[in-house]
Order: sequence, then C-alpha cells, then structure tokens
Amino acid sequence: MKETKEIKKDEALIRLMQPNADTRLPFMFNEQLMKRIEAETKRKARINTFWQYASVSVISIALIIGTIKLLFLYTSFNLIHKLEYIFNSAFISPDLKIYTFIGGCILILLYLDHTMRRRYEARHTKDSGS
Amino acid sequence: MDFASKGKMDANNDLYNIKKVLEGDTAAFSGILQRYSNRIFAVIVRIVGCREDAEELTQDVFMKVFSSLKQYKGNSEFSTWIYRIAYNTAMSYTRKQRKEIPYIDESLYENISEEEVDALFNRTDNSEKIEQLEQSVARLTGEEKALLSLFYTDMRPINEIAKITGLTETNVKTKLHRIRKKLYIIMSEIPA
Repeated sequence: MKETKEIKKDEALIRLMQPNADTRLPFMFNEQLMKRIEAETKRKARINTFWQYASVSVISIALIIGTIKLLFLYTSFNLIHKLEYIFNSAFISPDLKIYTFIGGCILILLYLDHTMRRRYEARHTKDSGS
Repeated sequence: MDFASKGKMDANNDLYNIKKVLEGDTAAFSGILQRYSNRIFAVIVRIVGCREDAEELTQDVFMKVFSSLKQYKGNSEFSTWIYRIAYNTAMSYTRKQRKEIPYIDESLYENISEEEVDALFNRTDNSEKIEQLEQSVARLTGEEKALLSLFYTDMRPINEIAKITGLTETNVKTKLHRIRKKLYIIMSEIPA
C-alpha cells in the first residue's frame, strides 16, 4: 500500500488525467445507444420466434409423417384410399382450380390480417409513446 | 455521502437494473448506461487517443455488456466486470493498430531514482511540463495508458485494477512505477 500512496502523490499526472470536455460523451450518446439496444432486442426476439415456429413445424410434420407411416405399416387403414373415397362421396371436382382459388383466398386473408395487425400495433405503440 | 456508501448504493442500483433487464425490461439498461458510459468512455479515449474510435468502442462495450448480462454471476463488483470488458475491447483495438512504440534501454530505468521522478511529477505549476507530459503519455503502449487511466482518471484501487487487467496486484504496482520512470525518460527526450 506504501507504493500506492507514493504513486497517488503525482499531482501532475492527476491533473493531466482528470476527466475534461474531451473525455465526455456527446449529449445524445446514451439515447442513441438505447435505440440500438432496443432494435437488437427486437431482432433477437424475431429470430427466437422464427426458430420456435420452425421447430414446432418440423416436429408437427415429423409426427404427421410418422403417424401416417404407422397407419400404413401396422393397420389395414389406407389413407389414400380413404381420401379418394371421401372426395368421391362428396362429389368434389377433380379440377384443382377451385383448391388453388381457396388457397389463394386464405393467403390473401392472412396477409390482410398480418398488415392490419402491424398497423394497429404501430398506432398503439405510437399512442402509448406520446 | 461518503465514497463507500455511494459505492454500495451504486452496486444495489446495478443489481436492481440487471434483474430488471434480465426479466425483459430493456429500458432498465439506461440506468447502467447513465452510471457508466462517461466513465468507460473517459478510460477508453485515454487508451485509444481518438474520440471517434473511442465512441464506437464504448458502444461495442455496452452492446457486449447487454448481450452477456446473463453471464454476470456476481463474483466481482459489476463495475469491475464492465471495466474488464472495456479493457479487453480497448486492448484488442490497440493490438490491431500496431502503433510504433519508442524503445527504451532497460539500464535507463535503473539509473533514475524515485526522487527525481517524484520531483518532476509533483510540479503542476509549469503548464509547459504538463503539455510535455501529455505528449509523453501519448507515446505509451495501450496497456500502460490503460493502467494510468484506471489509476489516475477513474481512481480505481490497485486490487480492482488487478482484477480488470488480469495482472497480479504486485505486477500492477511495479508497472505503474515503471510507467512513471518511462514517462520521465520520454519527457527528457522531448525538446523544451
């Protein structure tokens, strides 16, 4: 500790090393950094959500494939024949245009839902921010 | 309020802010920023010597602090942990810069007495000397500037500087004494 006290006596060094205007951050630094941190947090949350959905989808598909495989292997149940029977009995047209149309409608509705939700959330955030 | 109780209060505030950030309240990180950003910047700017680079490095430090906050186990003071990240960031920057460092013969250190060094550094009346001292500090290595900055700018105790830099306490003291002598030698080479 003796050495420490001796070093502390260096008045010239203490004077030189004191914080001054050159060692102060710009006024908006903390605010800008907080914005960067918040953006980073949102990016990480989006990545997390993507992986959650991806893993749930992969697991679900694997379970469906596994179930179908089991049904084929261990039972007399034949899904293709059953589906054919259902379609035939319901008089569904073999023309695929109708299914494409329905699928397209669903995609458009999902897109509209997504856009409106984003707009609503953006407006809600803006309102609560002001 | 004395230094010790202020330090204890800061530590409590740090722990509170860390807990909030880990619970998902990102805004609580601004408390940590307010407490440390200027102090960390002051140390980094002394080490790297360039304001723009120091600002970027300070941003990097706090991004690292934010993303690795989960890894802080409380084994040391939170301030020591932040300073260690800042020190490592600034050191890797200076290593990449590969600045030319003046060579000083080992025998020169032996020939200088502590009294001579004390006499030089305890004079603050001569502004020309202070200017020379500033030029001499600029010629030190990154590690030397870091030690000076932690000791003189931030007034960190030797044991904390040792934890921040990964050196032993004895090594920190020896290096600080050696830096003073080195500054004395460099100053004597600068024409008045």
